[in-house]
Amino acid sequence: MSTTRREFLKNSAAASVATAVGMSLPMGVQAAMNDAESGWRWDKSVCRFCGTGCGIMVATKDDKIVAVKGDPAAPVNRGLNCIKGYFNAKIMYGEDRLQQPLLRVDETGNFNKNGKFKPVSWKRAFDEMEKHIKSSLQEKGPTGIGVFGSGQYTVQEGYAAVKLMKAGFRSNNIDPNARHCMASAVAGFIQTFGIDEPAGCYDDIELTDTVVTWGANMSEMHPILWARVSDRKLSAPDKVKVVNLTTFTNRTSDLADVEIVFKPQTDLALWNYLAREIVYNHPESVDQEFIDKHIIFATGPVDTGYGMRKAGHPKYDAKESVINEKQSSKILSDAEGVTLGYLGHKAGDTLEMKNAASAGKHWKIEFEEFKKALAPYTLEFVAELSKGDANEDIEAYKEKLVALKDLYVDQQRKVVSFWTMGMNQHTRGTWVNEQAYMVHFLLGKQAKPGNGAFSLTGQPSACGTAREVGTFAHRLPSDMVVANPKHRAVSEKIWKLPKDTLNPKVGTHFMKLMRDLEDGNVKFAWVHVNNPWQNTANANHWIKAARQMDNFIVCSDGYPGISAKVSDLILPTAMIYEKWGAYGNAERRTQHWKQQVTPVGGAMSDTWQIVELSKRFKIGELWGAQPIPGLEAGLPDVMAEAEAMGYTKDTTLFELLYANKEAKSYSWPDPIGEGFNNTEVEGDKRTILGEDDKPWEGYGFFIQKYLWEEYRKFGEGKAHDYADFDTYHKVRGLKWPVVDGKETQWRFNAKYDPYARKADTGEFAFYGGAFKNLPQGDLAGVQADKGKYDLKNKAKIFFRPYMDPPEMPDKDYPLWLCTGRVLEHWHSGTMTMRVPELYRAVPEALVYLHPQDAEKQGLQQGDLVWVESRRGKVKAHIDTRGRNRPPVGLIYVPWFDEKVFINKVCLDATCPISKQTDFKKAAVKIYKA
Amino acid sequence: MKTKIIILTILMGTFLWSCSSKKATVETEAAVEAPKAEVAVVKVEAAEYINDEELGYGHTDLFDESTVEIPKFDYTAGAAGTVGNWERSFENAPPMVPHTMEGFVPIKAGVNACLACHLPAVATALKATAMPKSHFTDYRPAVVEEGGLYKVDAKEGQVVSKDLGANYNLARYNCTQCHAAQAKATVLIDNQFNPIFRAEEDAKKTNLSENIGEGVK
Repeated sequence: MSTTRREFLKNSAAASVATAVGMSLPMGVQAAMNDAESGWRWDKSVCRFCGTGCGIMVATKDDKIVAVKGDPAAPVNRGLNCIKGYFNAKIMYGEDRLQQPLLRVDETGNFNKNGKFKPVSWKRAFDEMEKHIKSSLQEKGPTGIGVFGSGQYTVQEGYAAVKLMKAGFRSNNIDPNARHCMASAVAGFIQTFGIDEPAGCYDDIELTDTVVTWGANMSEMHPILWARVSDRKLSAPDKVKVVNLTTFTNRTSDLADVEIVFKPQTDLALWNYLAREIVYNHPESVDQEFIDKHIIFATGPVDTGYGMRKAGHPKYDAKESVINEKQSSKILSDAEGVTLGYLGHKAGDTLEMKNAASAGKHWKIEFEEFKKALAPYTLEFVAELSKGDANEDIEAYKEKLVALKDLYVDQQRKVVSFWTMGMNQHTRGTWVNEQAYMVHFLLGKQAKPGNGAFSLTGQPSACGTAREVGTFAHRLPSDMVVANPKHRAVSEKIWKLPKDTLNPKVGTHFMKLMRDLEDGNVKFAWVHVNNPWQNTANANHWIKAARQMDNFIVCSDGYPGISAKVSDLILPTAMIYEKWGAYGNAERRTQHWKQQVTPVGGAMSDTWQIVELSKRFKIGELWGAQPIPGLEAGLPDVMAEAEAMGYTKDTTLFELLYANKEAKSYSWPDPIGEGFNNTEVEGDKRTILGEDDKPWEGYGFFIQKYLWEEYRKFGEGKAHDYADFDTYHKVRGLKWPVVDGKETQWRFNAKYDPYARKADTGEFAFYGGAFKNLPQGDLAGVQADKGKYDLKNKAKIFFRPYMDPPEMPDKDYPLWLCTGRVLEHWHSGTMTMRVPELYRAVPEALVYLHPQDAEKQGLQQGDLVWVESRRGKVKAHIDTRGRNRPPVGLIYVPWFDEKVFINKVCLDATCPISKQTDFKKAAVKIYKA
Repeated sequence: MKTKIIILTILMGTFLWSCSSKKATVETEAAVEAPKAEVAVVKVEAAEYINDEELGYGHTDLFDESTVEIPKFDYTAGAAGTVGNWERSFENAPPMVPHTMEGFVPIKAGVNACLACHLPAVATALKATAMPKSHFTDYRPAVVEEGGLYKVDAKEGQVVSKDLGANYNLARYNCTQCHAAQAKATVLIDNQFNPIFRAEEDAKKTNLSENIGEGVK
């Protein structure tokens, strides 16, 4: 930790010598001296923000953070951070950090849904939670409660939360905000590869010579990856080409060789244009050997709806119903008449959405069928359909599409396609993700150094926690799912649960959790590490659901955001550097950190809150027979087997799930923790009064290490291997699978991935296990007589057509609305709006729009306008010359600003497969406020 | 009222708002005098009942957008060369931009107006902040091919540092990634972070290139 006195003297001597002869010191020696003189402690940690996963160095003195710098040894960022990354130093010190639990009470101090907040003890907070969970379980069974989880959970928090909900309460109603951010990427991976997460790694950037961004403004959303792209591009400007495909000009366009501004949703057509060109006009570019050995072709239904409620819901008005009607059927547009022609449809036909509940099913087709379906996607058709800037000449636009195609098909060229929210937040998000793999597979440019379709993740642990731990309504750790009896059996074994404890019925996803609150099906909800009431589209409904329905909502947060304001109980929660944790980034890199400082006020970590709550529940209350809507037999009584396993009806979830014999074997103190706090394990200087009103003195065993070590058993030997806890505290992260202590750079590639080698199928093996036994058919559907096809170790090229989004601009709402982030703020802004430098950099969410659209309304730069949709309206100032420069007909509004509550305006339509909301497309009007 | 005074004191006392140069600009002085942040500070001892509208910074009825007040911010700043510098937010924090950015952005390939004044060769003469040594150093090891396999040419935990001489590091080309202009806005919610500068000059300049390895093990 700190330099010893002896080292200090030695270094001082070296410094005098160095000064004397004018030579420079080896790096770190000068540093070590400063360290010793000042009493600063530097330790490695991870950035709190995006999915890039930069390493940072945190300096603390007197139990406070005093500085942050980029970690020069971190492979991701090598000493460089973006502005948010540096200001990690300040995120925990906003004046209004929550310090004590707050409960809505009446004048007599009893809970009252309409009461005002009053500070209460932790004991009272847990009393209320226990009471409301028990009454909800009594009334509704395990589906009556829910957790809004997070892609910003530490791995251990997510794991503890899943265990409490799925193993303890037997409820699958836990789903992360990552549903809003990565679900389409996940569904794309699972359907294509049979296993989640990217094949490549960030080293692809240094190795490629073409970067194509699709709906990814990397310059603002993944700034450090963009710094690496910029370095690569500008170091070899003639060789390296960058293309930005986007619906509006942005900072990523500023460094691109080619910018393609396309109409929202037409990315589906653009990918098919590329595939058509490859298959029809550039057969020489097809890697036939790769396809023959490793690929099959597939497709699925198109009548799948848009993940909306059906029209006629009593809480949706007539205006909203106009759009919601399309959940049941729609009249095909001219474009759809062409693109769905392969199914015999034509423009004007009514498409009944018969597969809304079975959108994910798919089947094998032959290459000739695939080729036939691509036929309509000619340059002429796609250019006409997709040109996004009315002021751009069509011939100039066509030239750009041809230039894009030429880059992809060039056999001498390596290509990386990056995408994020533009392709994920999409009512056909799963499809468009699959299309990216389609093009890269055809060209044999996948899973190779410098070549690959690369899904970037949005949140710091959307991969590490939400996806890998499986904090989704349908998942278990390590890509397992609740619906699979074998997966449940594996989980029950690791968790030491009686057989059939786990609930086989998929729980309620994030969007549906809101709808279930609105419908009164969920009576208790707990918010972890995110801000659902600001981050969920069509927010007016959910505010009413929280405030006007009979339910109890708990929000654990560092700061009071909108979700805290609509809650009934607010829990002050430790923030990132106030706890031990681990995040997993977009290149499969898992990074751990240590607690740097004592939490502010009376804040305690999410892990502690989850584990303390578990003390209030006995298995005898939970593990009897339970009703589950949609599961006829319900959940069985498993108490007899529980007793045979040595548990009693009075065994608490705490004893069973968190403080069991194995947990206690991870003793504390541990050499890894020497010199560092661990509030959960040994308490801290504050003497917090805990769940029992007694001073909190800690669990006494190393709970974070236990949770990690148990969690990693799920992935061991299943291509999800991690290293042990101690190793991660010695390295700057490792990319899983970690086999024999070695990380994996390129998955599925036998040169790099031991699992691909083991499969023994040549250069590649797409060994993921999900959906690998497919029915067969033609474009129209399954032909049962063809039987099933086993595609072990192979991946799929999907044919997916272009279809319109459910809401498009019309005469009443003439503008497209696209929402997203800005560089200086993170998500809903609860942290970054409290950092003065970031606040002043971007103090308000602006409406970015084209000067001609402003002029049409007689608006001037800086005018205040209303942005209104069928669902709601907000006020904001306009900017016609900002960093985002939309074409005529589109506006961009970021969502970080509580005062510009843009999710009131957005449409709650989702990809029907992934259930991820499309935050990028809605129809709005603007007018002067 | 008392809370307000306390906040004001904290603002004046601990928040490093003042300009380090004698040429302190009008806008920053104005900002010092006008901290009107109405903050619902959730201090247990003081608070009795808290209305949800008092929480956070929105301070409005979530059911009624017409009650929302969107303040008009002043984004103007003096011309480059006519204003002082912001003090560093903490040791080696990237400095915020004190002057207007109008006309300087967007930064495009081959068009980077920031370089015109901040390259060391011209910065001193123009009294602009010179891009420091860290911007002329490459800390990223190469990805190399060895026996048909690509790998990063550095050991775990190793800090690699290559002097680029007069060439700036192209990974740092997008200046606005770290350096942002500041609107004349009073903070909504104060921040209690307290920087410690180990040497007085650290508030004004960086020593990152000498100290980047400090604490790295």
